Amino acid sequence: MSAPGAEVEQHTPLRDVLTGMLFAGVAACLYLQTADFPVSARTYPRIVLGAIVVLSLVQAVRGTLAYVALRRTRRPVGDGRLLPRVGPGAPFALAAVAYVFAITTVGYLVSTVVFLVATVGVRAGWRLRVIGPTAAVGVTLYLVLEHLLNISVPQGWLL
Amino acid sequence: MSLSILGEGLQLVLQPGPMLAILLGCIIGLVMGVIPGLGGGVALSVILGFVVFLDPVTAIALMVSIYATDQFGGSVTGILLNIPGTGGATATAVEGHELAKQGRAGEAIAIGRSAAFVGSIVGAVVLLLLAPFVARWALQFGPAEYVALALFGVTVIASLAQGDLLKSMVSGLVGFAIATIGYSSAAAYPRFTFGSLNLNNGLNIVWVIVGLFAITQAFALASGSGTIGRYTGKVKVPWGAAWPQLWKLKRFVAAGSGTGLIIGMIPGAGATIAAWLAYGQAQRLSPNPERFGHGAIEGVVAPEAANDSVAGGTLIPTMTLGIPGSADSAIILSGLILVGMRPGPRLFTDQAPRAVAVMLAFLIANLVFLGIVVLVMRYLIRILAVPTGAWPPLIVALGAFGAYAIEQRFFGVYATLAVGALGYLMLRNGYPLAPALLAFVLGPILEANLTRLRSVTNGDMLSYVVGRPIAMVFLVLAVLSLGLNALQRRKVGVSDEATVDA
Repeated sequence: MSAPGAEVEQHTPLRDVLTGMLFAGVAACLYLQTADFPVSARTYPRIVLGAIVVLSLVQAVRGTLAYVALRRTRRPVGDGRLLPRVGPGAPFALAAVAYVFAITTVGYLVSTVVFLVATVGVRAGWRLRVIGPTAAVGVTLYLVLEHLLNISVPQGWLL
Repeated sequence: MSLSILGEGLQLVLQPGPMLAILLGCIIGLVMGVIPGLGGGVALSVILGFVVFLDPVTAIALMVSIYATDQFGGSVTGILLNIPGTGGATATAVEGHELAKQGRAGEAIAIGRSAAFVGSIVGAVVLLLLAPFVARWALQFGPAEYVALALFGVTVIASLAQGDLLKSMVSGLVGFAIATIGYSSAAAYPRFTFGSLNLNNGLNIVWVIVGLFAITQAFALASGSGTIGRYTGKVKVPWGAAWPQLWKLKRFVAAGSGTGLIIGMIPGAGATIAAWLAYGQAQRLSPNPERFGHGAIEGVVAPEAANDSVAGGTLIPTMTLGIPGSADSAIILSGLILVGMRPGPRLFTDQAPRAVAVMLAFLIANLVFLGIVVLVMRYLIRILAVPTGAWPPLIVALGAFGAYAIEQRFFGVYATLAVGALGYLMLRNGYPLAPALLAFVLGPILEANLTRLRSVTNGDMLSYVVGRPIAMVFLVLAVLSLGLNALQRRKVGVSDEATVDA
């Protein structure tokens, strides 16, 4: 079955260096935190985090060497970007974050319907046959949570 | 397995709830499989948030039905548009799309689905027959075997994952690390909680799975192009004529089903690998191998049979050992845990009728699915006209819904979003996510058994493990899988030849 893990993106040596350093850095910080743990609770995370630090540093070194080697051959080094290009997914990601925070402030029903209608409308076109069912999905989710599963949904200023 | 347990299992599954769940699961699997980029994994992860509200057999019947059926939709888009919706359909698309170009799309779909049906039934029957024996054998497993098996599962999936081996290993380790958040099983001490009470119990499995699968994939899909593509031709599917033709191709069906079943039982080696192996076998078995690449129906039959028999094979280690063979089966395993059916050999002794009911649900789903496909085939193609842009918001809303519903804490939604962001960062930088997910599921098993192993051996684990042949076999296989894969990648000179559909 397909999975997100099945499709990985192309990456450049520079980005390999950056992500390698990032993972190594975060893992190292967490490793240091384990000093406060009792011995029985720290052995396993230390093995895991230590391995992340080592492998990520190997990746960073490998990326650096690849970058240097490519520079020597004067071939273009990937897309030359250190950070991934900001694509059409960025506004959507921001909208998703805003939606999650809006649930507790505005309320589940309104924020879900607005988020769904706005993002689907922008991406799939403002046609009634698209927007109508999308809004219905939002309302259905609310009804399922509140009335079918009897789960109290967050209610903000509105509903 | 005694007949009385089989009868009890049948009684459990032949209730309105589970039967309705099977029907719903088949429809969800069919629809999600058609949409490239989504697939059953996303559907399963979103569903996971709701399973606790259902009766255990109903919940798992829903999940295994999606799992059993999502491959077909992927094959339809592969045949019609040369856009395989699932990894397992990539091999089918090669010959299937050639047949479609010759105006034989309907024939390819009918024979392909019929072959897949046979494969799925073979997988389901073998699961039903073999699982109780494997479970009985696994009862003798101790901590050493479980540690070795967990390591084997993650290393195999890391070595088979698409992309860089080093990054696959880091991805697996990240999964293990995430699993250490919260109170440890080894000592009553909260780890990496940063003083937050919300993290004391660790990250709920639903938050991690929805984050890594659904949210990440929604972000990835949102970054992609607008539509999948539309099939404008007419498709007449000759279901009646398919079976006599399939009978003539029975050895390809048998080869594909056998390959899928065996590959499915190996952790990490899922439908994609099985389908390509079956494709290669079909080419070798065919009296006209030169027709391959130009629309050979054998090249559709064998991969399709393999594709669907994989699911049954994968469920064997998932249910009997508690070791999922793929990311999708890891989600099913999580579902089993959530509804109180802890997978492992004891599932077949303590809750035997329920375990049998799950396997029967898988078998029934495959039977029901054929009927559904015949009925809805003409409407299925219309789903391809739905703009891709509509799916990411729906996935996010459903994901947030499930993340909140599972513990009724809004912290879960934030955690899910954070895991999704981490997953997206990893995906965009070449880290496959399947190893992380599998490691997150296997992490607690690994740590708990390592702790047990340490206490049993008083710290001298090595000499103890050396004396346990099964554990040694798994450990050697784990090392071999990584070593051989590294050698192969170096030889080929590229790091992204293999694919994993876990």
